[in-house]
Amino acid sequence: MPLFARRRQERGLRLFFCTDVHGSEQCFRKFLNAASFYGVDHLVLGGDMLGKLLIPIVENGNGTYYCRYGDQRYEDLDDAGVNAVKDEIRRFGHYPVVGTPELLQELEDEQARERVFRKIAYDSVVDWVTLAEERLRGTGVRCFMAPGNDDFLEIDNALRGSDVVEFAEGRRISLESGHELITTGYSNPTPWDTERELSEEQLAELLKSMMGEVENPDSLIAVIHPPPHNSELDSAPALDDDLQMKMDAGGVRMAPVGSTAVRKFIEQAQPLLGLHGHVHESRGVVKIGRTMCINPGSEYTDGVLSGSILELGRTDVVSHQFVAG
Amino acid sequence: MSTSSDAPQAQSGGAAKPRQFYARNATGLVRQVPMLDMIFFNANSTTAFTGALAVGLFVVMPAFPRANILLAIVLGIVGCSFIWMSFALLGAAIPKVGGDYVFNGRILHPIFGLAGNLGAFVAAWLAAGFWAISVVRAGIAPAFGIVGVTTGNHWWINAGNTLAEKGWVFAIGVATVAVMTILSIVGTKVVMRAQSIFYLITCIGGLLAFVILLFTSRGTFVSHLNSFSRPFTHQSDTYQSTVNAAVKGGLQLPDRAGGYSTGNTLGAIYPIIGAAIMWVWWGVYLAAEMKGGGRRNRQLSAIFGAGFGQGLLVLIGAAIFFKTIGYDFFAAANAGAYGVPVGPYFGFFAAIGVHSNLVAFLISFAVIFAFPPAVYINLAMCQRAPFAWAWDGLAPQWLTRVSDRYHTPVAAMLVTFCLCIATTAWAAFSSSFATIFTIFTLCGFVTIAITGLSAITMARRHPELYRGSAADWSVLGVPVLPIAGLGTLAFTALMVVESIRFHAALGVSSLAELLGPPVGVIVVGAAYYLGARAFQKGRGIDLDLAYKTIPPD
Repeated sequence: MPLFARRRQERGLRLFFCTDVHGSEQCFRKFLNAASFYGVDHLVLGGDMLGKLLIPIVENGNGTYYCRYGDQRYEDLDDAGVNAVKDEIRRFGHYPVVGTPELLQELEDEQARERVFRKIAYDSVVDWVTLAEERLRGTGVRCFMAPGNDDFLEIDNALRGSDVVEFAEGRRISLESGHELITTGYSNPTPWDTERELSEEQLAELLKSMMGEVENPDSLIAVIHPPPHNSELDSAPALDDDLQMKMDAGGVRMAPVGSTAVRKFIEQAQPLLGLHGHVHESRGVVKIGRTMCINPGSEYTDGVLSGSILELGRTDVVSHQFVAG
Repeated sequence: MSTSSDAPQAQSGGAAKPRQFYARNATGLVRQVPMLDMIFFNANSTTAFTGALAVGLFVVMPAFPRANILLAIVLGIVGCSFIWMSFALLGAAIPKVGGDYVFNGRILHPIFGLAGNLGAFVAAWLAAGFWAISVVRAGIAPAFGIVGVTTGNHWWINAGNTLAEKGWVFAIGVATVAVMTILSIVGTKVVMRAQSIFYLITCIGGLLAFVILLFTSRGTFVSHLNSFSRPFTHQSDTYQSTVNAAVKGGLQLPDRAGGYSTGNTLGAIYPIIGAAIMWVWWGVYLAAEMKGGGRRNRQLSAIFGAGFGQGLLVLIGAAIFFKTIGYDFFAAANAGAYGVPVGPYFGFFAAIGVHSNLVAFLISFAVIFAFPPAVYINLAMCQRAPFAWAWDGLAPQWLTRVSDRYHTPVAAMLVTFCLCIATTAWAAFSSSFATIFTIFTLCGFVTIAITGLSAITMARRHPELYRGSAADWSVLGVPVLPIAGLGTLAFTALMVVESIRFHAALGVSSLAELLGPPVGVIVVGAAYYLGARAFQKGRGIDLDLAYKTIPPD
């Protein structure tokens, strides 16, 4: 947020953007409340909604359960205790799975684990859409959600069809303020070979086709999950083949991991705003030509919702503010 | 995508036992940077134990006569435990760059966050200059003097005297600040590694002195001391005559004036722990840069490991000094009654204990390595504070710039370097700096007291932040954080009262002089925040939102 800039003008479009909540129940609930809390017109969730871990809650066989989670060891849990631990696990973006040791042992099988993950993740998104409908219906707030590279393809079905949540992936959406919104959660290749990855060439094609529908780039908001390559918004620890951080004398070796296709798109199309995520530790704002590119970062592991409050004029960004609510 | 992970560690159980977690093929889940560097960082705040002993005892012994130093250290460790606990739990619950600024600003109010942080910032800014000149004044110059006196080589003595001149003190101080800044820019790992190596070197020197003095009897030491000192003092029993001279000069000693003084013992706590262990929570300023900074056990280990470790070393060192050198002589020598042209440094006494020039050289020069890390840890705080302020809109945005190549906040680091050149010059050339430095270190109590308040009120004011966080911890059903907060406030109050009572002994002439700066940072912090908020409001930005937490329900 610049300290020195022009004086305030007439109120423009206010929106709140966040991304990479990775299954955090607490962050998602905060996201829904952000509209009234920050006084914005629209909410935009930029992708990577799903969590990454299943946490077993194991039956002891005598009606009680145990669970190890983070630094905590929970013993002899009754049903109420199990529910409390479940809430705790969901709060930080992980998924509880309750069962006997034998049942949970099946999760050692990769295919079985994948099936369980997909089922739980899908159900969690259905629950989130329902919650969004309960909280936002009738408020006049438009809520745009899109998946990210980490999100299973089938959750698109859970996001479609709601009268409150607007599934934004791959679409051009017109806003009442005259702005246009295009969104994609696909990323350039990552070392993890995740669900929604495209080669740089394919990603460039996708962005080009989306751009073909845009009427006025001067007021375009481009929500693109990966940040532009080498933009200060995409600096992440470099990894070796075992996904270990590469270290050198200066500590963790950092490398730009953003997309060259996104960079080229921003440079050529010059939208009003580029909203990105994907690299949690590279929070920041940069200008690429006339385009203001923002990555609000992510602190979902702490239950903190990192985001950016933006006020937009017809063809300019009036103000932006990083928040961590 | 995340390339860092706070994921739980896998459980190594039998085949039939379910794992602690199951991961899917998603981005992230990579290893963490070890915690050891954090422990060394904390241990170096404010300085390694050798520096604390060299500087702390030198100040405390004459200023607080008849103080029971060992008891003061023990009480200090106990009192500091509350402070350490508050910072460890809050730092783990909200592990962000900026430390207390962030968690106090979020839990209490931005004004408290900024005012407290400003207090620590000012104290750290002055401390960076103080420790920079200490490289020469408490390190290099005494080392040269000790080697010169023990070897009888006047070149060393003259060189030490030359280096102690203001110009050299400034030049070497600035060079130290520059080197530590460059290392900071090149990478946190680099500067952490350097400070760890420096710490180990100075520890080895200190432990060598401990071992020598531990196995030297009082009689042997006195005999060696008298023999060594005779050419300088022309007295057969320099040991006793030093004590007698000090007593004649007004120094009170426990054996001759009715035992230890409870009041002076309490008064001695702050100066000695302030130089040794009070600030070992300093690592919270780098919590976001340390992998696993959000885990309670890691923060507790990093802070308490450094605090207890360094506290015990200071305690053991002081006990050994008093056993072999003797409390009376040590106090008399620190009061300036020893007639040999060298300070009463423990390295010097250890060298006398074994009659070894090599030992004198090794121990004396090892002490020098205590001070560059002390410079660094204060630079680190000063670098992170404006960086954190800028993210919230309290400072220009360019201060948030992070180097693509090194991933360090270069702009904030260069600004800090310039600021610390000024304090180094001030410290080197002004005779009033030491007093001002002492006064402004009391601003640190503002930071600590505000953090105590946060610890007490977090669960009530922000249950959504507290519940399930690393701070949400009970032992035997008793919540730890509010207890730590209460202890923090109580211990801080005791230290403030003692500082007021002994302000003259600390070199402060009036209460207004003593209390002005801590009150001043609160007023300046409040005024700055309110001004910035009004300014940003005119631009459509509500600064308060940066500090607020959205209720999830």
